[in-house]
Amino acid sequence: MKRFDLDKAFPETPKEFTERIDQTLQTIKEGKPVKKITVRTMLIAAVITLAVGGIAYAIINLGQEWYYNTRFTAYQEHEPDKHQAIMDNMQTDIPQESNGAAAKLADVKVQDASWAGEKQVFTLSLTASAKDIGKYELHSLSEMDGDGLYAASIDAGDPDSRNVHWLGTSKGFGLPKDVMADPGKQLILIDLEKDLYIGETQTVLPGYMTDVFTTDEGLVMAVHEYDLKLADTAEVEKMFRDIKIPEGMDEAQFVLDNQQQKERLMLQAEATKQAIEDNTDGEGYLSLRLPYSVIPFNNNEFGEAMDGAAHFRVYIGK
Amino acid sequence: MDEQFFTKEVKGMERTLYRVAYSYLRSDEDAADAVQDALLQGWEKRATLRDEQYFRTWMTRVLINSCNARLRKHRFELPFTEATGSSQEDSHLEFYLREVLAAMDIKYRVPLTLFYLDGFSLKEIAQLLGLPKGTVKSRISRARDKLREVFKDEEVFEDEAL
Repeated sequence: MKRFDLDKAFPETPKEFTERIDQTLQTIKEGKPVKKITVRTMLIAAVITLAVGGIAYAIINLGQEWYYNTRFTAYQEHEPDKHQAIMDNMQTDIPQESNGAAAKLADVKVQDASWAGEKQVFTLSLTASAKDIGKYELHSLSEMDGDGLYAASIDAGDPDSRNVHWLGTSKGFGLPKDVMADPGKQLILIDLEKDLYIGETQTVLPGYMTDVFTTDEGLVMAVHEYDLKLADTAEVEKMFRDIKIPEGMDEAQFVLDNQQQKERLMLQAEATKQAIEDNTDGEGYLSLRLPYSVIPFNNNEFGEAMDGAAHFRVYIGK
Repeated sequence: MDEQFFTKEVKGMERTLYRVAYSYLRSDEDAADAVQDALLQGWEKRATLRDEQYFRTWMTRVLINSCNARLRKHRFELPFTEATGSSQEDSHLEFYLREVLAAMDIKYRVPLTLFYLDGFSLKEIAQLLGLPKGTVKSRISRARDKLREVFKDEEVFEDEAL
């Protein structure tokens, strides 16, 4: 068998796939204007800046309005209805508290949340900063060894192989002491990519997209998107409607596979819906729990992870 | 990077984009969705690519992120809408290759195809997948062993150094 034989394991590139690429490429245009943050927000930010100082300005701006209008503008340009729904349902005053050992090292704050039921999407943004900024410097765990070249033992055949951990920051990618803003501080890493649970249950809200990064202000920011369609049995039903049996597929096996998966999805959707109902209070606020962990890093060694969780409530309607 | 360069490069790597997305998602429809997301995100974040000669690696990385996001979303699993089986015109080799690859764990399937079909080096795959190079090497080796288990009478990439 030669390497090119392996290509036979893949179907021919479908015409629809090529067409989708062509359609997508036609939508991209050079220098499309990015919608600016609204005047109202800028005014509010300016007032708070004057009143409270620079940190307040940074926090006000580091929410989803900034994120979806500046860092990730694909929805604005290609799914404007979804973008608008997220903006229209934005909640910025989120009742919340954090607990656990990690909460003693890092301040994790849910900046805002948008339960856009009409588009069946829920979005959330968080920021994290070291509690004691004089002693600790916080970075996202995802920024450690992002190039994949760390190995426990060096590969002699690869000059780039290394057995020391590298961190990516605005100063570059290298040994933590070389790229930290202040190498005299203790480096701590935060994992903000865990599942989101409904109330105190073990039922998770189905995730869709996650982006975690460090802002110019030195805060770790996470934006998560969740797919509410998978908490809706009617939507799940729709997903399985009109599925065509692919050519060459055993019909009986195909029907059986789909039936089993549909049953599983329906059960999960029902459980998620039930958990949402059970954890929504009389005023229409849903309780959610987002675990996170903080890991100290010293002398090329990860320390013991400390767990924490943000407990918060978002308005989803009665 | 201008629109013309982006379009030309994407069109030039269409088969790679399909194989990578299909390796992860095993569905034509999901593969098309993932590639669409990746192209939009890639265009959005084009300024993060410092050197255009690395476009292919960079775009593949964006696509892998998009596939992983879809897999996270579909932790609940989506309908199995695509055939992994064969058509009547397939040779025995094609039939068994499809079966073996469909049954192979994603952690073996993806590095195997990136290495043997898409021509990425071990180092590039390590960067693409965020894994140590040694791990990539052992996964490809393990995937090759799985092929050997099935194709006992065939030489499996015997002329290819890993």
